[in-house]
Amino acid sequence: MTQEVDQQATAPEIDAATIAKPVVAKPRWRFRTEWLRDVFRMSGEKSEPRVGLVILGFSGLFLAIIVRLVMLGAFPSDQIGLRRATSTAISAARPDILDRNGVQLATDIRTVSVFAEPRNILDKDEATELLTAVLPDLNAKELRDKLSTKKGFVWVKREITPRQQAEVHRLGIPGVGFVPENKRVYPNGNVAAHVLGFANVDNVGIAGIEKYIDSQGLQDLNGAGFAMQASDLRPVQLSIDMRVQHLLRDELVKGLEKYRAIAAAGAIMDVNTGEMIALVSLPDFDPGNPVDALEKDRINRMNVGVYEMGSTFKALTIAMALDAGKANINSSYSTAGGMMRFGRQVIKEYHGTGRTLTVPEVFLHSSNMGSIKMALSVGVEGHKTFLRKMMQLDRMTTELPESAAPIVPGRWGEINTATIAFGHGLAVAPIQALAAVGALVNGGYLIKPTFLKRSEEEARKDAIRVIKPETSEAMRYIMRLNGEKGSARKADVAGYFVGGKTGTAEKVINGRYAKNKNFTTFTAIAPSDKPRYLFLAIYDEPKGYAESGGYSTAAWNAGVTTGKVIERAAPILGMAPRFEPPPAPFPLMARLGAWGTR
Amino acid sequence: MIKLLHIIAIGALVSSAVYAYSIKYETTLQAEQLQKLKAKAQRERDAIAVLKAEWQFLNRPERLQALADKHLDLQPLTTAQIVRLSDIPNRGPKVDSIGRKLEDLGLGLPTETPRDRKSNTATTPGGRP
Repeated sequence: MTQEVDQQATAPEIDAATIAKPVVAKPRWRFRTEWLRDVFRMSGEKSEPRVGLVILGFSGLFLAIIVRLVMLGAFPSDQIGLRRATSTAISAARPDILDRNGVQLATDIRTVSVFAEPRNILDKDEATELLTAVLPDLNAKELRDKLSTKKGFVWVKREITPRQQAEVHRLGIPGVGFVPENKRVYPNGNVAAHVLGFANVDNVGIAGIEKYIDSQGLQDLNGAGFAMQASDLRPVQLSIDMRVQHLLRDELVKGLEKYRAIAAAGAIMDVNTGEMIALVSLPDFDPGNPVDALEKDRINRMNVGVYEMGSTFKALTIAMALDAGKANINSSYSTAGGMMRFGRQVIKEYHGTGRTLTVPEVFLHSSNMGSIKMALSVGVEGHKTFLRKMMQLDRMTTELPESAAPIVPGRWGEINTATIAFGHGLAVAPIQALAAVGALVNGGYLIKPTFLKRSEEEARKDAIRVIKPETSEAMRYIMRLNGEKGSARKADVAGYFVGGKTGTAEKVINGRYAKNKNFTTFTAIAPSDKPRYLFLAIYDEPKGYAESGGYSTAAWNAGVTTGKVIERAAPILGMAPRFEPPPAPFPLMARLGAWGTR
Repeated sequence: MIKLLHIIAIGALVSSAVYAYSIKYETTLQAEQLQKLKAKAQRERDAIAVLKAEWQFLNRPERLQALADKHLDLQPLTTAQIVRLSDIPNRGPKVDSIGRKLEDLGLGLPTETPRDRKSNTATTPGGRP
C-alpha cells in the first residue's frame, strides 16, 4: 500500500521527465500489465518473471506440505494417538525363565484389558453405571473421574477374564475397547520367589532375576517398539534346579516349624562352577501376588541379610594361617586357661578343653583361642588383606539386584582381628561366606556365585586363585574330619563322604550379645575328597526341642536340616553313594601325618 | 485390416484388464487368508503358552509331593536301599523245584499223554477214535 502511494507521489516527476523527451510514454496501467506479458512471452531473454512465478508456486506447495506435516506431528489424529497410548501403556513381553533342566519358572500368557477413550464417550454416567455393573470390583467414583478427563486413553481394568470381556463387549459402549496384554505368571508359586523376584502389572521387573533381565536392555527394546512377543525373546536359563529348590524349601519349612525359628535360609552351590543350584529364604512370598514381598521380614537373607557367621569363619582363619605358612597342619596351640584378655575384653573358650590342640583339633573343638592365635600370627594387616581377597569386606554383587555391603569394623585393631578370627565382629551376607568356603574346598579358586547356567570352563575364566591347592586339601581334610568325628556328624549321610562346619553366633540385641538368641549356620561339602556341592542352612533364633536336650546350637537344627537335604538332593544331583571311603582321599595329609590320619 | 487390428487391440485390453483385476482380487483374498491364519496361529501359540503354564502349575513339586504323600506308599530314597552290583549274590545252580516235589510224591514217572496212547492202541482208519 505504501509503495503505491509512493509511486503516485513520484509519478508526476517521472512524467515530466518523459514528456520532455520525444519518447512515447506508456500509460500507467500498461506499465502494470507489462510484467504479466513477460510471463507469457515465449522468447528466452525475458522469461525471468516466469521462472520466478514457478519458484513461487512450488515454494507455496512445499510450504503447505511442511505445515501439514507439522500439524500431523504436533496434533496427532485420534487413531494414531490411541495406538501410541496403547503401545506405551500395555505390558511388554518378557522372556520365559527356565530352570537348569528346562522347567518353566516364569512365562507370559495373553490376557485382555479394557480401556476407554473419554473423548469419545457420549454419556459418561451411563458408561460408568454399565461398566461397574459388569466389573463389580471397580470403584464407581474413581471410574467416573477417570472418564471425565479430556484424555485420549485411560485404563478401565487390567487383565480381565474372557467371560468379563464378553460381558463388556455385549454392553456396546462406544469409546470402550480391549487391548491384548501379556500377564506374567509364576506356575511354581513361592518355591523360587527370592531368585525370580517379580514383575508388576506393566511387566516391568521389580526384583530378582526379573529386574536383572530388564537391566540387560529389555526395557530399551520395548521403548523402541521391539519385542512385543515372548517368542521373539530367548528364554533365560537359570542355574536353579527346581526339584532341589523345592526340597530345600520343604526341609527349611519343616525346620522353621520344628525349631520355632523366626527365619531360615538355605543354599546349594556347585563349587566348581559357582552356580547356585538352590536358594531359599523364609518367610517368602508368592511372585504371582507379591503384596507382602516388600515387607521387612521377606528380604532375601542370603543376599541382603548380613550376619556374623560364627565358627564358619574359623575355616577362613585356619586357611589363612596355613596358606601364609604361619602354621602347618601339625602346628599346635595351647588353650590353657580357657580365656584370652584383650584390654578390658575377655574371650572365653566355648567348648573348653584346656589342653594343647593341633590345627585339626582346633577346628573340631571349634576353639576360639586356637583361631585367635592363628589370626594373630598372620597379623592385622595380613588378616585384612586375606579377607579382602576372599571378597568378605566388599559388597558382593550377583545377577540378583539385591545385595548388601558387609558391616566391617571402622577401626580394625588387634581385638577385631581376634573376634573376626572366630566369626564375630564382621557381618557378611551368607552368599559371600558361601563363595569363600567354596574357594577353600574347590582347590583354591574363588568363583563369584551366579544364578545363570554356565559351564566349568566359563567359570574358570574369571576365577581367581586365592589359596594354594595344598591348603585347599587341608581344609577338605579337616572339614571331613569334623563331619566324621566332630560337630558336623548330624549331616554325615552315609555314602556321600560329607564334611562340614557348624557355626553358632549369639545375636546382637541392643549392642550386647544375647545369650539365648542364636544365629546358627551349617556349611557342608560333599563329597569331601573332590567336592561338587556346598550346602548351607541358616536359622535365625532357633529354640531347643525335646530330642536336642534343649540345645539350640547349629548342629541340632541347621545340621539336621542339612543332613536331610543332602540325603534327598544327592540322588537328584547325580551323586552316586559310595560304599567304602575313597582309598586315599587326602594323600598329602596322610604323608604329613596330620592328626586323625593315624 | 485396420478394423481387425482395433478389435484385437480392444480385446487384448479388455482381457488384460480382466486378468489384472482377477489377479488383484485373488491377491487380496490370499492376503486376507494369510492374515486370518496368522491370527489363528497367534491364538494357538497363546493357548499353548497358557497350557504350558497350567501344566507346570499342576506339576509343581509342592503339589506333587502333597499328592504323593496322600496317595502313594512311596518313601524317599535312602542310601540303604542302594546296593552294589558285586554285592548281589550270583544265581545258584538251576533247581527244578516242581520236578523235585513230584519226585518226592512218587509222581516222577513221565505222564501218559494221548500220543503215547495212540501208538499202542488200535484206532479207526483216518485217525478218528
